[in-house]
Amino acid sequence: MAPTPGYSEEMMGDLLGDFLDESGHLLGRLNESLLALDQSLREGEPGESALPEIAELLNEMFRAAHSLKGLSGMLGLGEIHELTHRMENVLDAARREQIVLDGRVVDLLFRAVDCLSEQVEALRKGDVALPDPSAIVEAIGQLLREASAERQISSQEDAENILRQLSHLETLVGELSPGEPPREDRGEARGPGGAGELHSDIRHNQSQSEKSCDVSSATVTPLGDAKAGYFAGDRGTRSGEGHTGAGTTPAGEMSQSEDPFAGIVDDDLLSGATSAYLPLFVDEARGTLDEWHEALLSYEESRSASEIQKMMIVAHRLKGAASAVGLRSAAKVAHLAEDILQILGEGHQPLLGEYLELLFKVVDALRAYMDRLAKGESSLAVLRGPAQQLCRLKQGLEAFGSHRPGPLAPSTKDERIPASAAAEGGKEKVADLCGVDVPERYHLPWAEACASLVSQGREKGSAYAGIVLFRPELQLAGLKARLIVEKLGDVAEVAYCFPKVAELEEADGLDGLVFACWSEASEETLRRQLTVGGVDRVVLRRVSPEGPAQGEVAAGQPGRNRSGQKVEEPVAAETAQNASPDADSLEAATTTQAVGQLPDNAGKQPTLGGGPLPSFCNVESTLGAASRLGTDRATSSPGQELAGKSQSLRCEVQNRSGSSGPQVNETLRVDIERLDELMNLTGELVIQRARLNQLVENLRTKMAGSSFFQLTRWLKEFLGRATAGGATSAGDFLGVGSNHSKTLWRIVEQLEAEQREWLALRALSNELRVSVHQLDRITDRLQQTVMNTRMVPIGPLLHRFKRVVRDLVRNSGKQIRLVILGEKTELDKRMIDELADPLIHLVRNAADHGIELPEERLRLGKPAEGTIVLEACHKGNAIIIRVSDDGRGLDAEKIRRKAVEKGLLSPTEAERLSLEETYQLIWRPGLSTAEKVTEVSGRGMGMDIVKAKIESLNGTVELQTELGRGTTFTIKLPLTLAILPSLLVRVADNTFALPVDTIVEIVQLGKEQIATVQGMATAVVRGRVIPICHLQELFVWNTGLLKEVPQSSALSSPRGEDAHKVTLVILGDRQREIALEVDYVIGEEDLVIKSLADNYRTIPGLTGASILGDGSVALILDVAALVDMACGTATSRW
Amino acid sequence: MATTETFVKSHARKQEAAGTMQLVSFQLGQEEYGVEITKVQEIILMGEITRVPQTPPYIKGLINLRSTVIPIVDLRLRFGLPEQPATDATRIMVVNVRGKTVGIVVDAVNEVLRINREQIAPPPPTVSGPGREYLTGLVRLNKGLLILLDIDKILDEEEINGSFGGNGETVESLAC
Repeated sequence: MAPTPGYSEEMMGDLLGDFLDESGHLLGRLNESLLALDQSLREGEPGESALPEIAELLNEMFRAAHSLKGLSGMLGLGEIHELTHRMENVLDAARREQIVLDGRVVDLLFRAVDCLSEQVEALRKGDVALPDPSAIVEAIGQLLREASAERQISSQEDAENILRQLSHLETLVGELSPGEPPREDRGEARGPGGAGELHSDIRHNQSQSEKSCDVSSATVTPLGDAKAGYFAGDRGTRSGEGHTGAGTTPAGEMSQSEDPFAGIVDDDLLSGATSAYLPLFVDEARGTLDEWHEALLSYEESRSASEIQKMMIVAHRLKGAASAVGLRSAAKVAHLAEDILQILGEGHQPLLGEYLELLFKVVDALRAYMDRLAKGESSLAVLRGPAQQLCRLKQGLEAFGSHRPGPLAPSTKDERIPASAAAEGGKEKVADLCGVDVPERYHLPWAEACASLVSQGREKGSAYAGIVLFRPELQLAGLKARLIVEKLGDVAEVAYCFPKVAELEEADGLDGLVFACWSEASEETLRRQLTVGGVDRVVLRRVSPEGPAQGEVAAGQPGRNRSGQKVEEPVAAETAQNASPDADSLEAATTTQAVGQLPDNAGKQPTLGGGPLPSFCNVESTLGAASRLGTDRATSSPGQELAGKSQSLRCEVQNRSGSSGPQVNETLRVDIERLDELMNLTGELVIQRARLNQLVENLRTKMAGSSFFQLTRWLKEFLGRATAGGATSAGDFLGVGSNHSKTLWRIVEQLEAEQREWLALRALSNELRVSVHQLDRITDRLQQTVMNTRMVPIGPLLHRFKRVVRDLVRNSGKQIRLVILGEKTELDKRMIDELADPLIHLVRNAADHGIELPEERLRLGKPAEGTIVLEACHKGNAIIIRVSDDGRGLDAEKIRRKAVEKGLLSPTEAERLSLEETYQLIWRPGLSTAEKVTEVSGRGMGMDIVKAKIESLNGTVELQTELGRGTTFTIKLPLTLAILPSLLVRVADNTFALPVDTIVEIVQLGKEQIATVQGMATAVVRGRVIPICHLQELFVWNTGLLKEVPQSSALSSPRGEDAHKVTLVILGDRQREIALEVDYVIGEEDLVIKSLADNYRTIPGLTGASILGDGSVALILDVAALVDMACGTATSRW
Repeated sequence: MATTETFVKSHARKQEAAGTMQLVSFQLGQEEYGVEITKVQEIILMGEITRVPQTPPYIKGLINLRSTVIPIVDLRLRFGLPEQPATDATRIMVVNVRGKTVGIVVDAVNEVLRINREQIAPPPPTVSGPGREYLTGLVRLNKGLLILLDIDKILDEEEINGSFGGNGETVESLAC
């Protein structure tokens, strides 16, 4: 699917970046949960999949998959969307225990995750064609079919098709449950990718799953605010289940006019895992809010529809981010705003003053909320007012939407509910479902039920509306429903029933019943009538069409008492809520004033109702309820006060609970290139500092070593004696008072003055030294800090290998435990990126070749389970990463044999190799001791890759091994990539840098020690025969070679007194050595590497260039490539 | 590297819209060439150039331009003219080509001049000689002809992406 048109490229790019960022995290989480799931499945007894931790893992994965789905849907990434959707299906089925969780399912999920990773990777690379997920989608379909969940799937697909046709939005993929009645909010099919719709879908699913874990057969759900307590209390038993995604949202936007947050429980995010993401979230949210604000402002200017779109996207992003960290209230606010924007955007109506004002207010409130969050407080108070206004505005718009000639809404709504207008009215009247966890599809029937009571007028007794929810998978639910209706008929007059009574028995997969009735019986009696076997929950409300406030307290209180929740305050809140439908705006004003936010609100609020656009009041009048408006307002005014009080009380509670949280660290997302630049500059500073230090030191020694004072003193003494004595031969010449004497004394005086100057100079030089020393320390700290900004823990990288090992274990029948140590060790981000590849080879090798099969291990007296240890630590100025296993170790004999077989060595050479040298053979490409090439290893390229990669990071890798005991690879890496300790050498008037790590030794040999072997100059150094190379010959020099120095080797070039001596720098790479002949060695220096590719291109044989202290450019030699070149030339010559 | 003579070109772009353009003219052998001023970052004196192996002959080497290492192209060699030792007039023109900064050695930099677009004539088909393929046109001046160079193209074809597997970026012409 192509990205939804209508967004500017730039915006898409931006979103895509966010998506890639986010998806990385989500995939990581999926992988991790999946591994844990796999683990607990294998450890636990089969069939025990109902373990709480497994359920938790499934939930976790579901959430991750869902977030991905939402994001990809928004961006129109059809493939990813499709796949995540399927994953959700599987996870959901597993959660409901419709399918047995076994290896096959887990494998399938793994495959899906892999495919997702590939897709994301492809996106990152900018590929247009994403990997095709159809095979996995097919497999999932197969799985679900087998698990007799076929009906569900097919009906889902049907529903999807229908939805597609209805909405004409190709991006909209709905997810409807079996037998689900048409959704009431279909009319608001979401613009950008249908993400909003999916969101509510999931809520529905989750609430169902929650229901299934609710064991009591007919618990009366506590009402209203008590619901929050219910969840809070429940959280303990469900061990960390607190963040069930948006599941705890009762999803009753339509009916939630009073407390938009009722039943929404934010995660306790100031503790636990989410707290780590909080700073990131706050940071990002602030950015998002800025964007939103900007869009609002520019909308005010331009009134262009694209700005509405932009705002929608921004709101959606905020919603996603907020719910990802568990801040459901903030998510809810964003969601509401999004909905409103959507409705307005669809209708192509301009946002007029009030709407804009409200949106500004929302943005401000969210900002305030973020600020508090950053301070470690979780305060909903600031959100409440705007949220309520949003709620109301939305309801108003929706109600109006059924009358206006919108593109979608009327057709879908009207065909289902002829009396939708009336229903809307009823909903407005008795919109008190809030806080009750009822599937969203029952909200409309509920509203209709209430409406029927209102429209029919008083018959006898009180009016009740209720919802009966059956236990999931209840057999013959239709009959049960019928029975309930009949029982109800005994004590009451049923005014409304959904599904219709006649259809009850045919209804397939029925899971609930909505009814309205008139009855003189008490609520308790009614409840008893309703409670039959198979009923999960009953929601029963007394509805008073004329005076909503009076009856509700009585109806609400029993529920609360039963659940043992606080009584006083919620009653007040409840009263207010029920009293207020018609006085909403006033109440909202009171509320916002009560919490001290946006005091200007009160003045502006009334204009909302009276505005030129249809809003709440207009709706009221269309619904014919206007006549009651006046009386209601009057009766509800005491309630307002109560509402205000209770609101502020609640805010206080929240403030108190929030303020104890820790301060949230502020973070900033920075382009890594800027950090690279900063790092480079710091590197240069460090190098200049070294030079400065050197200069100061030189100055000091020069000054200290000066005999200036001494000489002046001597001169003075001598002159004194000469003039005083007068008896010397020079007496006349220097006699007292003679002109010469005077001149000399004057010179001495001047010298003394110079001396004072000199002393001052020395003092200055000392000051300079002190200040350079200070600079030293600052530079050190600067470098450290800059380096720290780039450091990320290695943990996530190491944890990735769990998966690798797991896969290997499954395929090989081995038992392997992966131990990860030092995951907090921090490495340069770039380094981490580069390390994945070599480490994977090492881990694979350890698992595949190192660890033996369990039987063999037992025979050898080792535990059946092999261990691979991945360890990271700091050591001095280096980072050590160790990969060790307790497997069979390297077999030197076998390596020798293989090397001979592959023609890497002659048999005689192989004989001569020491043990150590033999082991080194494994780094050679093409050598593998594996008997057969397996899927994962055995081709013999792995170690070569490892070595090359580590060396490209200026690191080294060593191995220790003991036959039968295991192998350990030790990777040593510099702390940073930016600074390279190098040896500067001079060759034919050019300075070259050689990385210090590659230098084996530096020797000076007499000419006589250099022999020619088959035309190659070779040196014998400590018994080793090493070929001598010259840069002039290794490289092709276009500009008349290196200056005027003769091209021939040093053997024939006379060079002063050193002519008979040759300086050789022995360079080593993978046990191959060459001797590079240089004119002389300048010394060691830390260099900042400058890439040649930045302004030119990479040049084989050169790592890059560097700028020396004197400003000249030196080339840094790539030793590995040099050695390769040298060997290449060597063979070509032979 | 010593002194740098930086051109102020802030208003150069604004002028372009009005049908005029600013050129930096320079001397190479007997010919006078012109390059759009927007491409030229600065003009510096010849300094020490570090030679680089494994490059075509016209790459003179690398220099340090305020902590950035940039390659130096000898335009004489590039155009197949005989190499000439640097004189007092020899300059390095630092140009920006597709995000890369490259120095170009020219015999001398003459002046900055403003021309009308009407003054540009297409290169006559008979023109042959150094840099023929890089000509975008000829500019008639009072004192003679100025050869307009497409500096992007010069560096594009071989120097930048060169024989080392150019990545086929699209050429976005900043000119005209």
